[in-house]
Parts: sequence; structure tokens; C-alpha cells
Amino acid sequence: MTLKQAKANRNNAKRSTGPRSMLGRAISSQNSTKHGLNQAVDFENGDRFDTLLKLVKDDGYSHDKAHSIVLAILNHRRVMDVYCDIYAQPEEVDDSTQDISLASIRLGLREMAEGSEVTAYEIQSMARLIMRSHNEKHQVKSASSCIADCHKLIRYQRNAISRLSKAIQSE
Amino acid sequence: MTEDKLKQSLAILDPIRTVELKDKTGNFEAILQGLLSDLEKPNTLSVLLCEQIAESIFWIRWHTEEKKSIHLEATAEIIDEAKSNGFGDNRKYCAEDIKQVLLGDETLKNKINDELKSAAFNTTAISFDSCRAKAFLSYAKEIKIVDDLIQRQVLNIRHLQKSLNAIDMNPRIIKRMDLDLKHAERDLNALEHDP
Repeated sequence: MTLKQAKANRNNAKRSTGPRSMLGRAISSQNSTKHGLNQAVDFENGDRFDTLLKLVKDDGYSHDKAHSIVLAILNHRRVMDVYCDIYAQPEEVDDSTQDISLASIRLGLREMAEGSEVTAYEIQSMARLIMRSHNEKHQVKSASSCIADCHKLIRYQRNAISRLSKAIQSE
Repeated sequence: MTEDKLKQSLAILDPIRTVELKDKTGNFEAILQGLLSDLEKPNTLSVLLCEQIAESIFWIRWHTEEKKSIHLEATAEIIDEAKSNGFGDNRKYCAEDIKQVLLGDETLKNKINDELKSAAFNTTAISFDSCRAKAFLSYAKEIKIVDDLIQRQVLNIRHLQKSLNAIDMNPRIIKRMDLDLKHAERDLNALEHDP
């Protein structure tokens, strides 16, 4: 690439401000979402947390220790639930959704977006996203794909299990 | 006695189950019940830890089977590739056939060997065993990943086991030491009062 081309690319990129419509922004916001394990989760605002905390405290643990143990268990479960989901078998295929095609999704989205400022490119991207999600749901993942996805969770498992171990074994 | 412990543990665990495996084989439940029946004094934390250990054991077994099937499927693929000389996409053999050969089906093995030898322009492999070796080499990366997954679950079990020991085994050891101490004190008292 010449210097002139590189400069032109940079200038063109400056003009792009990314997706403008709500739909476009919704699509691009999901671009890097894989398993969501890097996001902070508030475990304390859940029924499960309260139930477990009460039961662990009933076993004779102090409030602080029971609190850290329950948080660590729920954190470990969060990682392992993603692990299980990778291997989850697809649901029974419903005949009404089996004939879904990219064109039909695109058509439906175009009708829905009529009158709004959604661009054809955004409709196409959204249709692809829906199609991909449909395919993922209705196809059994290959073994190598599953193991590769599970492999990415190793570091999360390591952190979660050592946190759980520390919470229980700490004095 | 063991059955009572199991019932007691399940009664604690059932309302708070955290593992949601869609396991149709029943392996997970069998592993879990085995672990629960060994608990000395079941409580919320110990049954939860047993549940996590059972899950890790389940995944170790799952990945071990997966590793086997990757190798078997890869061997079948290499045999078909060698027979077809790289043309066409006709699959004749599957993982189940390779399993049969490994279980000692000599007839099938000889048939595969003959087919490989008679295939024109076969440059891939000339025998069942060389196909197997080639399959292992081609899928070494996948097999290494599965090994890593198994290793991770083993380490998870080690952590969980230590935690379980801390809450279930240690009180048992302390109780036993207390009894030993009382016994020693009684002996000492008996010696002191001995005329």
C-alpha cells in the first residue's frame, strides 16, 4: 500500500461514524459478545443468592464467610453453565421455523423498518445475525468446534475455582 | 446407613441444585449419588461441593469419550481419503467401523488393507495402522485441546476435594483427636491415682 493510499484510507475512515440508527447500534453492540464472562454480574440481587446465603449461614458460618462462599459458588456456576451450554443439544426443530431463509428474514425486516432511517446494509446485517443465531440453535455443533469453545473458558474456570477454594478454606 | 445418608443429602440438595446438565445417560446422577452417600455429615456446602465434583467427573468422562471419537472419526476419514485418491467425497467407513477393527475384527481390517493397497494413486497411507498414525498426527491439535480440558477438570476436582476435606473431613479428624486426647487424659489420671 502506498503512502497516498494509506492517507486516503485514514481520511475515509474519519468520515465513518459507525452505525447511526438504534437497530444498527444494537447489531454492532453484539459484535464481540462471545460468552459474556468478562462482564460484571451482580449476584447479590437474586433469589438464589439469598437462599444459599441463608442455608450456608444456618450451617454455622459467619455472615462474611457465607457471603464470600456463596458469591464464589455462583461465580463458578456462571462459568460452568457457559461450559454446559456449549454442548447443549439443540431443541427439537419446529417445522414452521425450518424453512426460514435469509431472503425471508430480510423481507420481514424491510417491512418492519419502512419509514425509519434504517439502511439496507443494516437490514442485511440484522438478517445475517438472525440467520446465524437460528442456525446455531438448530444445528449440532461439531466436536472440534465445541472443544475449541471450551478451551477458551479454561482461564475463567481457573480463576473461579481458586476463588471458591480460597473462600472455603480461609480462616 | 449409606442409603439414609444419601436420602438426607438429596433432601438438602434437591431444592438448591446448581448443576443443570442435560445428561440423558444418567451418568451424572450416578456419580453424584455415589459421592453424596460417602458424606459423613451432609450440609448445604458439602452437598454443593459434591455436586460440583460430580460435574467435573462427568466432564472428564465426556472428554475422554470425545477424544476417542475424534481419533476414530479421523482414522475413518483418512482411510476414505486414501481409497478415493482425493477424488469425490464418498464416505464409506465411519468411527464405528474403526472401533470394530480395534476391538479385533480382523476380517474388516484385512478388507480395509486390501482396499488401500489396490487403490490406484494412493499416496496417503497403505495400511490401516498407518492411517491411524496419520489420523493421530492430523488431529494432534484437537487431541491436545481435549487433554487440556481434562487436565483442567482434574485440577478443579483437586481444589473442590481440598475444600470438601476442610469442611467434612477435618471436623472428623478433630473429633477423633479429641477422643484420643480424652482417652490419654483418662489413662494419665488413672496412673496418677494408682497407689
